[in-house]
Amino acid sequence: MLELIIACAALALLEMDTTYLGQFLFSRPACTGAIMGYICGDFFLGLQLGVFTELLFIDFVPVGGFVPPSGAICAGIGVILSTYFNMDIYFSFFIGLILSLLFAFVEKALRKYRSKLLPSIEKQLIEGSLTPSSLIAQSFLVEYMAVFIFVLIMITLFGPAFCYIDGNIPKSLHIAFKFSYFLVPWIGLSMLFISFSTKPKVD
Amino acid sequence: MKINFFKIFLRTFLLQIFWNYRKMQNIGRLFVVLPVLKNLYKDNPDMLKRAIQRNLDAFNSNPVMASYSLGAIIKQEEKIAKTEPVRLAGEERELRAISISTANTVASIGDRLFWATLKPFSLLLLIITLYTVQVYTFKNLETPTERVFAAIGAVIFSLFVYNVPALIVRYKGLKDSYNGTEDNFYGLIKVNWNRIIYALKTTGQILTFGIFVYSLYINFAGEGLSADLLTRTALLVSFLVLSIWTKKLNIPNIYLYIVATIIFCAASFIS
Repeated sequence: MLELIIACAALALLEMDTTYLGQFLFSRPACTGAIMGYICGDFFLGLQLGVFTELLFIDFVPVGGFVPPSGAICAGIGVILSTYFNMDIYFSFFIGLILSLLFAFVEKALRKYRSKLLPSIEKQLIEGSLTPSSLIAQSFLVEYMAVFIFVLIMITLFGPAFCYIDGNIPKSLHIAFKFSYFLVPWIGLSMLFISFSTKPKVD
Repeated sequence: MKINFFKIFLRTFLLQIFWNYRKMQNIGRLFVVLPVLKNLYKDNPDMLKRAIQRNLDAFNSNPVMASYSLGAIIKQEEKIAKTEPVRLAGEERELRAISISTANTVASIGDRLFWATLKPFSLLLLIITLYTVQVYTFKNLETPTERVFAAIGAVIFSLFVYNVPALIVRYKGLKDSYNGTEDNFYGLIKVNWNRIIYALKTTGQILTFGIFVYSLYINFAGEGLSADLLTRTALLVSFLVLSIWTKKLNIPNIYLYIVATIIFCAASFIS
């Protein structure tokens, strides 16, 4: 249990790199997947999940106020579900992807919440009753806890639920998920090729 | 006034910490320029408050390239500190103009260079490096354990490919824009960004094509002609065509994957 909590905490920390802390690309799915794989005891599983996730997420560019689904969450949750709950990689990838879409809503809610707080925070900053450093520390803590709690809740929901239904999943469903997972790197490579297009984009 | 660029450079890593829909990176911008403001107005708390207020204006840029805007803002802040009170409003308007024009321009360059080109390029180099050390991520997970360190090296290498240029631009951007003028758009036009983007994208396309062909080879070479292989190939080609089509419609590929999964599940139940 403690190992699982540490893995969730590590994933939440890696996710912070996406927007709030540094943007060193530790949160890129390939890197997050590899790190989480190493932490959870299956490096190559993490690496594969990470590379596949990054290939599939390649067409999301976080410009302006757009909040894309988190590749780090997708790869990280996929690795945790696969290693701690023996979930097949094609199922864990799919669940990770759905949860990354869900996490985008959490992220948007946090940004809206900060927008609401902004006028009073600005007032305090101008008056000097609040320093930017303490504000940043508080903001970091809130964001980190929100990500950590999200990951922990989702893992505790989906992990045991899968263990419960695992034996009853029809073989045909395994084949279906396996095949769509097989398509991921190829779709991703074609997207990678298109992403390097030098032609101006026509909308 | 002597500026501690390294301190400001370190602070730029927290530019997005309080990202909000109302004024985007404004708190981050204040955090970056605050040491300079405190230094400029250490004997004048009222002017410091005014400076803090004007640096809480809306600000949004690419986190790496924003330094090209922040350096120019700091330079203008120094100018404001030396300005007579009658000309203060004019210089403040000038600061707002500099902030908006530089932030928007560098955001456009930065998003295209770092998010849309260098990040996928470093992923491509990661895949190539993994293939070089015989870690075939696309094919199987049964990789010999002695290759773990080689694969870790490949991941670190991909991080270097992205981070070395990003760190250089982040630091150099601060200095160049601080020392720059309107004539060279605060140091921004010293570099031909479009040429760099074009070169990386062209190289990326050639390498991606190569890796695609090689991946097909390592995945399908040696397999005899069978119904299973033909089915897989037909479906693969169909989805590749679909992915190009959905891209043209601006539909992200993850939805194509979700739809593919649902179709396969439905088909498996029917069959």
